[in-house]
Amino acid sequence: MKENWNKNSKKDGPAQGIVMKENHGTAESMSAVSRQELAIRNRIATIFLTIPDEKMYNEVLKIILEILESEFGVFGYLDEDGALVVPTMTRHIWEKCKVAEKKIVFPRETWGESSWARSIREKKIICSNEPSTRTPEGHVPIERHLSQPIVLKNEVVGILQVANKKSDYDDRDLYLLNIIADTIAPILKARLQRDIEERERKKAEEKLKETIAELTESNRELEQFAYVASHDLQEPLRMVASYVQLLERRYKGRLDADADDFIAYAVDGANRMQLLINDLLAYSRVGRLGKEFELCDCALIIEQAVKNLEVAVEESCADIICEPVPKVKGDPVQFTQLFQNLIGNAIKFRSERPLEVLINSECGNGEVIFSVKDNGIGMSPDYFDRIFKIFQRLHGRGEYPGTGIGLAISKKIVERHSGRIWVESEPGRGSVFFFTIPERRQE
Amino acid sequence: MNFHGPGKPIEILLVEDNPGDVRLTQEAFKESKVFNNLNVAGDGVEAMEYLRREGEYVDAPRPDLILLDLNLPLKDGREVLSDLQTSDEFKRIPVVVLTTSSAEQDIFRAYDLNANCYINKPVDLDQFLTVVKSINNFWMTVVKLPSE
Repeated sequence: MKENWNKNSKKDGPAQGIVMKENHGTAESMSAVSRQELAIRNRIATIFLTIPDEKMYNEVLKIILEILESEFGVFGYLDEDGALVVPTMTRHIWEKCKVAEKKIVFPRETWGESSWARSIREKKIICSNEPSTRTPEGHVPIERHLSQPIVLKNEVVGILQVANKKSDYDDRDLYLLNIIADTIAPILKARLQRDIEERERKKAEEKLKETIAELTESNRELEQFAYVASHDLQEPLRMVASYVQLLERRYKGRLDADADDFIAYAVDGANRMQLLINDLLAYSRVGRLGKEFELCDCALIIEQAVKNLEVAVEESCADIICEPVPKVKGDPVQFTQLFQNLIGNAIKFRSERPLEVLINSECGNGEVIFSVKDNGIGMSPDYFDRIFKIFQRLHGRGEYPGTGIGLAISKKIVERHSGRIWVESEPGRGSVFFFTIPERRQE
Repeated sequence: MNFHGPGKPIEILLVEDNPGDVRLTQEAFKESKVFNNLNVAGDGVEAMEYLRREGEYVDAPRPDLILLDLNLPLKDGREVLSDLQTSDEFKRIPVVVLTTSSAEQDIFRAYDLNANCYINKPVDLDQFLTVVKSINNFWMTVVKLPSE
């Protein structure tokens, strides 16, 4: 926003006691002036670019005081609330200044009629070559001063003030201060913008940390609850289950047929509750009793899992093939559980065809993707998400055994290892269960 | 010396607060081949009174075997174990810890306090009955008890 000083467009009224000199610039002095202008712009820009943070304001002020041959100065900016923030006044004034309450943030309501306040409000330079009458008690005496707003696109971004030049401030000073303000404006605006964004970013980061902490705690509480609930439910359940079974044993056939039925339902209910509670306990153990991670030989783990299933494997005449699999870091007990569950499911949900189970793996992108493929009954995509939820089953109780916790536990185990688990499947064709385990560097 | 002449039952002290479990244990012991008497104390304090033949237990027979639950009101099984172990009078009596707790530290502590063995109460009825019968078999037919 360059002004032609010949036009006297940015001057204050006579009430302020201004003495304006005429502009006698010649062609020669103009090009000298342009060179000087360039030099000033360069010096200021360099400071902004090379000096960090709050020190920057002070360095810029030093240059300004030098160029304007002034003893004291102020360089401040407007914050988001429109208050004036003054990170720097010349150091020695700050110390000498005996004003009762030295502030560096001036909320808009407190501004009053000082030159800098008017300069900002009216967006124009204010020049006073007479001693200031507005300085507060204890303030350093001001003989003469200039106030120049820093304006970008008609918006005031900051303020510059210089004071106590040995001689009066003239047109040239106004001009120089204007150039300086002009140079500073876009850079200051960008700086402030960046500071705001940085603050926002930090706030968001803090919020995220807080949220993570809350969720972790919430998780722990839930696990604790699951454990306590299932543990405490065991004992009364044992009473119900045991005595109903005793009833069945001792009185079967000795009461009427209805009684036999009633007892049978009760026994069945108790047994199922037993299984649910055991499964809940198992589920709660995944996080609670998880072991430290160590390097695991997955081939051995899969072998063990298959061995644990040997009765089912034999019964189903399943053909289980395992391709070479890598070693990964994790909890070996949980890995065994995981593979045992997935392979067990493949066996459970087999079709009429001879069962084939293929276990494979693929490395890439910093993770290992394991897959367990079967040619069993498969499922519709509608259920791809549901099956991983607690106690979700796709079949009636009589059709296939189990409470529907297996995949929920598997998912929890995989997630404990920072992995993902998912399924691809087609009804009647079979399913492939995938899960990832991040590769960790060995120390 | 194990002087169980004809007609003399093996005296068992069951320290258990859950009446349901007491009854189950009684039912299981009823089917024992060996003549036995199951006496019950509902908490640790009662157990010690029984042993010391205090109050209403003045005529109580000395137990040949103690079945001890760990989680008891007033004075828990762990404390009872400790009392038994430090008492010259009672430390000789075999103690079978029969409890729902499977906590490792409980197991260690029980053996440290000289329990003769530690058994987890099974959740399943059949298993529970089997376990009680095993206790019965082992401690009352296989083993020689230090009966007096």
